Amino acid sequence: MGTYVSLAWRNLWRNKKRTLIAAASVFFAVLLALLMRSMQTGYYNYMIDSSVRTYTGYIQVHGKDYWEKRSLEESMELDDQKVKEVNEIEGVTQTVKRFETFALLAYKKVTKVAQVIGIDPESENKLTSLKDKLVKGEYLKKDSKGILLAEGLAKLMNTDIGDSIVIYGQGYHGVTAAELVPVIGIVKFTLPEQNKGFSYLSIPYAQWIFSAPNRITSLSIMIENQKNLDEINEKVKNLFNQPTEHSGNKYEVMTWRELTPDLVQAIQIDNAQGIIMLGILYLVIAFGVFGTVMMMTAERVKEFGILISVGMKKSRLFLVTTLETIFISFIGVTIGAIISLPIIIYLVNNPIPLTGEYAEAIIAWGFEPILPFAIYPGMFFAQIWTVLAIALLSGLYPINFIRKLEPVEAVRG
Amino acid sequence: MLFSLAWRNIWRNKRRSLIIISAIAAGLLCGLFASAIMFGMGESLVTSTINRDLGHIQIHSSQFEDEKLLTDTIPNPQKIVEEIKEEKNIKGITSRIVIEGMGSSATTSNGLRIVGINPEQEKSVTNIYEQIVEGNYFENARRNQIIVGKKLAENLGIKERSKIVLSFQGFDGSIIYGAFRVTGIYQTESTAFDRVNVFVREKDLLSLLGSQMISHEIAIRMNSEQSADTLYSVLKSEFPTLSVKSWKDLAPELKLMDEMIDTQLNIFLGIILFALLFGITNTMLMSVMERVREFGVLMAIGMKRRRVFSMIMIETISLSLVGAAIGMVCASILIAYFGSTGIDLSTFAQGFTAWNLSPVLQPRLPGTFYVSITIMIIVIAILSAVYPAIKAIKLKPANAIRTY
Repeated sequence: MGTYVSLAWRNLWRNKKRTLIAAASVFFAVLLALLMRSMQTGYYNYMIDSSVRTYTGYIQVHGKDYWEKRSLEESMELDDQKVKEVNEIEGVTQTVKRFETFALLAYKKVTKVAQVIGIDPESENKLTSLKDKLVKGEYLKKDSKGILLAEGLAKLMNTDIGDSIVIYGQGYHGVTAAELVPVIGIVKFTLPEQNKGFSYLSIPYAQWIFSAPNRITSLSIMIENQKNLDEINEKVKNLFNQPTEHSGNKYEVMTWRELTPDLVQAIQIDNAQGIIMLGILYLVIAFGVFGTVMMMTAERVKEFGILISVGMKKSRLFLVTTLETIFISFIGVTIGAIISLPIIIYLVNNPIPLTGEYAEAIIAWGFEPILPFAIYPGMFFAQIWTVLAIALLSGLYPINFIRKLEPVEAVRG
Repeated sequence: MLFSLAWRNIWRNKRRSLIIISAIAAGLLCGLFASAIMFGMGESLVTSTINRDLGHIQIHSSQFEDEKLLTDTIPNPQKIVEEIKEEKNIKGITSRIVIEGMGSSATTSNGLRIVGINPEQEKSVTNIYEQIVEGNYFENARRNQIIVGKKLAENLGIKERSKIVLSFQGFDGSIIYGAFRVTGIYQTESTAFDRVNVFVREKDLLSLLGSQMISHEIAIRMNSEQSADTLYSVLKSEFPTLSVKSWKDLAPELKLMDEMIDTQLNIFLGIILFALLFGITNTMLMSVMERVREFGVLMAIGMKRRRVFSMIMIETISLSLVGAAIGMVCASILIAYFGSTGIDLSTFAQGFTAWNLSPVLQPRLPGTFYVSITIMIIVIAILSAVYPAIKAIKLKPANAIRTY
């Protein structure tokens, strides 16, 4: 075997430049593909992460039908024991209770529609760093009787800390909720959707205003590693499927994939688009490799003829030519992977900040203006398999050529 | 002379030439088709937004955009509408009342953008009336009818004929409640739009508000994009106290997205062409190395090096252009075919509508793209020919002739 390897290796360097050009084309494709995959995956992870942190959690427990109807009627009672049990599941890093509803907020002659979110201030802060977003006033305490307004919302309402605003809304069982609430803090978000529409209360206060004592709308569960999502989801489901004695409530457990199918599909579409583009690039590269292999074959007709005449088995020649194609391609893959590895590692640790017009557009689409990257072994393997496939397919040409070769004629060629 | 020489040289090794020609053709075919799909997406995004709610030009009071208050009205809207109607190339103009409020069904409530319209006028500007999936578009004259988006109907758990209570602040600061009956449900490409926008008759809102005719928004639809630009500057100087905006200002992220797609496509095609560069160089390099003796003879009998150089250049360019032409012709046929039938990806519909896209893709590519591709491929061909051509003219005729 060693002989064939060194034979193939030497054959490659009979025409150095040609081999290098073909290898360079593979290198170029691999480098580009790796960077692109890294950027796409990085962005997906980032989108998922920010969506689960702010909105849903990786897994969410809520009252049956709450997700569909989003009304306080589908809110639930959840005792601390249950929450503790969820927290004890392996891989769960944190749980966050929320009490979410829509209400009208009014100050003097201005009324705005806002999302009113009852939170447990400490655990919310741990998850979304809400406290760091405070620009004025003070943060909520466990049972504060005040409201935090998003900065844009406060500006639209022309209100400031110290003022009292009116919350109008529909409470539990359709009871009208109306309450005068002091503004105790202003928080600033990057995303306009949040900055113009979010407000926070402490959970007990929200429950009191909306006449829903002891009820929350959701329990968001954060987990350490997305790989364990399904496994943990099963465990949480088991926990909540057991009938409980003291509450007749039915629960529903969903993962972020079920909670935000839009996000999942948007990612799928973008991902498919990226893969198609890389596919086209590799197609072009494959033609190049094929062309090179073809030339290497064509100029060696006489050599093949002699080798076969002196008794070399065709099957061994097949091996040599196939090894040649694999070598050409793998010089490219190896160098491509080696060079891109430090670049990608650097980018993973230092996401590219975006500025200017593009940054504004990205903010307007609801994301933060950074370009994050990700790294995972699979993306290297994907390139290796693709290139191997190209090499093996191109390798069929010399095999077929040699199979048909008549040594007598070839030697004279 | 030189050209026909070059042309014949290409076909001396048919198989090698065909390989690189097919590489170029396949690369361009796939590349152009993928580009056409993306370009079509971008374009449908723009047109659907214009058709759905923006129109080409909108007029607001100068504070409306920041505050969105009930009191930020346009003074004398009827007079302004009449004046603008005199202008040329106007397809439609409509005045709207826009109020932020809440909508409550029996079970739940949601924040809404309540749009009071004149149904007939609105038809001439936007196409909501074509997007009704259940019920009808203000067909009968009963009071307090409302048209809601499908997504909102799902969220609120309401159907056609359900009742919904709108609440919003009146001019005196008190909260006004009004019960409306759902007579139509619409569905556009954008779930975000469908979730918040509801349409009611202007006069129903006015009677709830107890107010005379008011207007927050005047939307204008033009016959063409170009006439929109002209009218935009005219209106801007005519109404200096109002905020006059074109769709590009109203949806800057859309305009930018359009540009981004353009840049992205150019980069994508650039990458494909760059990948082809390796293949073309290799092919020409082989072709030159096979013909060392021939070049020696040509130069020995007096062919100028400059002409040998040009011959190789012409060979490379013609070779590339043959491939490019085949690729472009096939691509344009495919694009034209799918452009008229459309590619239906409804299975992915949810994801598309999250991005305000229609699930039926209509690939389209403007003619300028083909021109720029042709130029790019010529540049690439020249770049790939340089190395082999230099190699050829560096040959010493005396030695080259003896090379077999």
